[in-house]
Amino acid sequence: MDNKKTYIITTAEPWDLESPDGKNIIRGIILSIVNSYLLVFKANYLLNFEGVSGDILILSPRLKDENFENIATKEIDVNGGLFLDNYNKNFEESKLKENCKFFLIGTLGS
Amino acid sequence: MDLFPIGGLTRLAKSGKGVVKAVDNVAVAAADDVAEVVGKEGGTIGFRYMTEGELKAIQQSGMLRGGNPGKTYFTKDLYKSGAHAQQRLSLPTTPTLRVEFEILNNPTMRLNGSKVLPDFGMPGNGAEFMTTDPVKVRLINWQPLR
Repeated sequence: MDNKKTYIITTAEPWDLESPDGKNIIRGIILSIVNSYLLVFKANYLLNFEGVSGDILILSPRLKDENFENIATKEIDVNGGLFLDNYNKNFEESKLKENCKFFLIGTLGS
Repeated sequence: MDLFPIGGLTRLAKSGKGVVKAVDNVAVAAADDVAEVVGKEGGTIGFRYMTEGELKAIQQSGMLRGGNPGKTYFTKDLYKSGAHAQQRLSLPTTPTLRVEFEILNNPTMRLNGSKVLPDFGMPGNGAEFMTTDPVKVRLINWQPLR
């Protein structure tokens, strides 16, 4: 996978997200595809939500039958959590999911 | 599909078997096997669970989500508490309002009552509808949630 490729999350919720890239747009890179159902995304800037901030999002497919295989060539509807700890690439799935705050519903694409 | 306006009443009819439920302000869409609730303009009726800011944006723009970019999700499920709506629909925030609307345009639906999956400790299991198109609406009413 090209780790420098920019991906875009277009948010459905929050419906009124504002980022340096515009309304409901978050640009960043994929740091890690943990498995077909869990992905680590790093935004190009800090995101603020209900008193917490961070740039690491933990994404999972929102819809049945969707997964992160061949993510470079398709769009996927995702739920995203803002990671609340210092990210370490060795973290396991449970650590990633348990240490984030549900932040967005959106579409991940490139 | 034939439409039967019933001045001022909403009715839910199914398969001509006489299953009828009175609500407000809608009309009946009758079909052989499918029941659908439609508004007085003939559009689909739905709910979105939101906060005051989005309601104001809808009132100003006439569009769900204020017409902002991104997909639009809604439901036909009726919840009376914000926490229940959040859990069943797997929403990031707790809504404070249930807003009922009628769709006035013809968005292409990508999800049509799909079951919401569990995630982030929420059970899901609500039914969600989703479109990538802007959704023009007529507001029917809005209610504060417990």
